Order: sequence, then C-alpha cells, then structure tokens
Amino acid sequence: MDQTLHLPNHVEVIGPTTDYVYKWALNVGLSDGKALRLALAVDELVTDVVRFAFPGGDGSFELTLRADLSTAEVIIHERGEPFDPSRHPYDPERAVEEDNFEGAGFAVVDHCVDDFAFLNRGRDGKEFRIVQHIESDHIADLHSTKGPDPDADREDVSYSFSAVQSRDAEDIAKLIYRTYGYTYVREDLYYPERIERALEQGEKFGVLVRSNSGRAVGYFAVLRSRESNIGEVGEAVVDVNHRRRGLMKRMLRSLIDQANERGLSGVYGEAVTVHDISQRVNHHFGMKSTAMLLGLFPPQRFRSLFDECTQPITVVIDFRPLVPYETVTAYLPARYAGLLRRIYAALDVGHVQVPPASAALPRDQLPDATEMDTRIRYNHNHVVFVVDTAGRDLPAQVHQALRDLEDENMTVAYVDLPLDDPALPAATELLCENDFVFAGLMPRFHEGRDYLRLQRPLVRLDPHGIEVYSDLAADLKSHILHELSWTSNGTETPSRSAPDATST
Amino acid sequence: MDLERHGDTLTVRSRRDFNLMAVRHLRYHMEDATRVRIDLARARLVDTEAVMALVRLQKRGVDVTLLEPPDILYEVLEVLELESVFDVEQLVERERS
Repeated sequence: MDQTLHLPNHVEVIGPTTDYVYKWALNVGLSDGKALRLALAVDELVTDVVRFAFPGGDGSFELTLRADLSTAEVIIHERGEPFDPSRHPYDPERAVEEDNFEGAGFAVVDHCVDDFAFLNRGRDGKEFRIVQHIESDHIADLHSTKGPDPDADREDVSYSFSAVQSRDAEDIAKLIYRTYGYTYVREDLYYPERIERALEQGEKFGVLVRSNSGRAVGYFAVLRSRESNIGEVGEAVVDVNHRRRGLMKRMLRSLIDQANERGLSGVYGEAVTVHDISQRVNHHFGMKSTAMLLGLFPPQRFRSLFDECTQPITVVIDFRPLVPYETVTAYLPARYAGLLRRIYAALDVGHVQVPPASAALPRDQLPDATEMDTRIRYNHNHVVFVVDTAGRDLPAQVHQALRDLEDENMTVAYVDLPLDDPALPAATELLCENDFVFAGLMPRFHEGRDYLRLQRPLVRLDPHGIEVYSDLAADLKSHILHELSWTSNGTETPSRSAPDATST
Repeated sequence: MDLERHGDTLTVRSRRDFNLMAVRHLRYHMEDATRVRIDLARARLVDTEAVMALVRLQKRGVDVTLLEPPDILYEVLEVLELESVFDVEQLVERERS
C-alpha cells in the first residue's frame, strides 16, 4: 500500500519528513545503514524542492512511500519550476573555487541509493524516484539445503497438504533452491525472511505439501494484488523426486478453493513462453489467455534453465474470474474490438455493452494533462504507466518518461487504460501513433476495473522464442507480431500497417 | 539547537540533524563569532547544506570544530571530494575537552 504525504515547501518539513522516511524504511526491512542513506537522499531532494522548486512563492509537493518485499521506493512529485538535474552536474573544483555547489545534493543522492531516476512529467511537474533494495539472507547462506530425500525412491509415499504458515518459510526457500538452483524467477523465494513477512502481512497464501518424512516437497501460492481484489497464482514448485504424482493439480485446486473462500474476484497467472507447461496447467484449471506481454522478465533469470533463451522473457496472462462477470461496459477501440470481444467471450462475459461512438471523447476534447502512475520495475527492466485520466499530452508524457529512464535500460513499456473510460478510444489512437501496440486485456487489474494494456518493446525479440499454448494466445501473438511488423528473424520494419480495424 | 556564547566562541548543541534548518539557525546566531564548536552527538544526518555552511565558515576564517559527528559526514565529504578542503583531524574533535 502506498503512503502519500502532502507537504508545503517549507524548511520546517525537512527534518520530520526525513525522520518519518527513516522509520518507515526500517519498518519495511531496510538495514539501519540503508535506511539512513535513504533518509539522507530524501533530505537532499526535499531541501532542493523547498529551496528551488517554487521561487518566490508558496507551493506544495507530494512524497509517496512504496515498498514490496525486495525494494523500498520514495517518489517526490512537485509541480514547480522546470528543471533537469542532468544539466547541473556537480563540480568539486567549482564548488571550492567559486562557492558554487550546484548539483552537490544530487551527487549525494546518487551515492546513497541503489536506483535514482528523474522523470519530467511535462505539465504534471517532475518526479524524483529513489530506490533501496532490501537485503535479506539467501537460503544458500543460511543452512545446508542438501541432504538425502528419504522418500525419493518409494512408491507408497503419502502426502499431507496444509495451508502455508510463516514457520514454513525456511522449508519453502530450501525447496525452491533444491529444485531450481538459482534460476527461479521469483527471487523473493530464496529469502526466508521475505516469505515470512509476506505471509504475516497477508500478501500471499498458499499450500505446502509434505511427504511421510516431513520434508517439504511441494508449494504453490497466490500473491494478492495490493490494489485489486485479485491474486496471482505465481509461485509453484514440486520437488523433482515427487513429480508426476498429481501434486501440482491438487495444490492448484486447493488454492482456487482458498481464493474463493477469501472472496477474491479472480486469479491470474503470468505464464512464461519459453515453454508452454505453465500455460497448459493454467488452462487445465479454467484460466483463459487475455494478454501477451513482450519481454516482461529479463533473460538472465532463465538462462541456466533454458540455454536457448537469451532474450527478455515474454509472458501470457491467463485469467480466471472467481466472481462471474455480468454486463461489462467498455469503450472498445475499433482497431482492437474484435480481439477484446473474443477475450471477453472466453471469460464468459454475458454481455459487453459498448456505448455509442458519440459517447466517447474525441481527441480534441481530451483534457490537457494526463494523470497517471508510473511504476518502474528496475529489476525487470520494464515500466508500467497506469492511466487514471488520459489527456492530450499522454504520448508526450510517456515519451519523456522513457527518455528520462534511458540509463535504466528498459526493455519494454506498458500503458494501462481503463476500458470504462470514454477517453479510451482516442487515447489508444494517440499511443498507437507513437509505436504502441496491443498487449491485451488486464481483467480487474486496478481497483477492480478492466484495463486495456498497450505495449511498446524497446528491444527486438525473436518471435521463435515465444511459445504459446491456447488458440487465443496464438491469435494474440499473431496479432501483436503483425502489428509490430516483426518478421521471423526478429527484425523490425519501420512502417507499420494497422491491423484489421473492427467495428464496434 | 542549544547555543552558548563565551567571548568570540559560539558553542552549538544540535538537537537533531544538521540540515538546512540547522544551518539557518547557526547563521542567525553567528554574529561576529570567530570560533564555532558544533556538537553533533544527537544528529543522525549531515547533509550538503551543512557541508556547504562549513566550507563557507572556514573560508571566512572561522575556526570550526565538530564534536561527535555521525559517520555519514565522512561519506558526504568523500562524495563531494572535499576531504582535502578540510583537515578532518583538525575539524573533528575526537574526545570531549
């Protein structure tokens, strides 16, 4: 959950703000040293806002604190005077000889944090984003994960299934490490402390399977969304000595039961496309493909498992509603209406109500300024822009943010647009004119609402490295590649023909 | 920030971080002091505003002594490449007199 402070640009807020950030950082799991450096970075940035953002006048700014199991992020957003820190580098000689310390604060910020980004948001001001990675003890450094499995060669093993408890954290980490070595994509699962924290905070729930001897041999969990009543079926492992015994299916069945009991409105999976195994399992349990996200994960996480895969990993979003859809109101953009209708049909949506074209906002009636949340996944080299209000400056804001993030080596940008927003058709056209293409439907993803996701890969991918299972996923892939004009050897042609436009 | 003045020596005891607010307090009370002793035992942070103030005081010929500064000060001086500007041994009084 984000925490946002609205603060005046007054010198008196600097001390209390850094104190609060320091305490917050300790609470989300940073060490004292890293919390202190984060607080110093915040002190420097807030001081800069107080001194320079609003020359000669009162102003205010927002400070947002955002954390997950592995990162603590602080976002400082102000709408003061335009400024670009990259144009004001610190020069120690100039500082001493001319008493000009311009850029000194930013040099300290850069030193203190693991990631530092500046986003120019045009009319919507500027954002400073600083991130500290939360350090934890890796399971390989804590205890021996080796040791013989007493049930390995037995045919008559019986298994017990139980809801995961925080005391199981270490056994889960050992199981992951034994099974996948260092190649499992969910890095948090190598750190018992993070697993424990997630369970205690109710961020995930799951099933653990133990064999006769008490050894943990299977684990499957749902990660609850922080902003919507859905969960990701995202962590799954079965010990190699206990596969082909139906454990995965029994665990998934139990998980879906638990998700239903907890009142989740849907579950989804991010199934990798370096193989189709995960997609098959998802479909076996009634999930439907709704989107294909190019390059969502960086390649190195899979390299040792799949030697052939050295490009960013594409995933298919598979979704299963747990609360049935009734009527959906959606401003389907003409160019994607056909595909979106097919996806909704697959999700058993009884009726998609498309308002008349006259109800949609034409481009010239969009508001001037876009309001959106920028979510940077530094570890995965991608960024998601979640749009709240689409304005005429949407492409410019996205473009500027990508320029500001050039040093972060982003591989793909995604934009999520609410499907029930009358501005959606015009916003879609604006983005498609700026090299964005279809990704798919993100069902109930933000505040329970359905979003159209568009994507713009920033690196070239080889389509042969993308394996899909369902007919719908195959059609998504075909459509997306066609829209990108990517040929089979992964090259891109400069001109893109629009795919078949479908009438609403 | 607690202040004591003995002749031309100003002694400052910081109750919190040595930041812009503290620098403004210090500047306000400096007057014609030629020697400043700043006790930072209760400060967690020393930021660039504070370091700038120290550089400027030194340039004005003010004799500055820091008592028990937090370790982060040395990092800030290193990042800003200002270690050579200060004689740190002289700047920081290790033991209380």
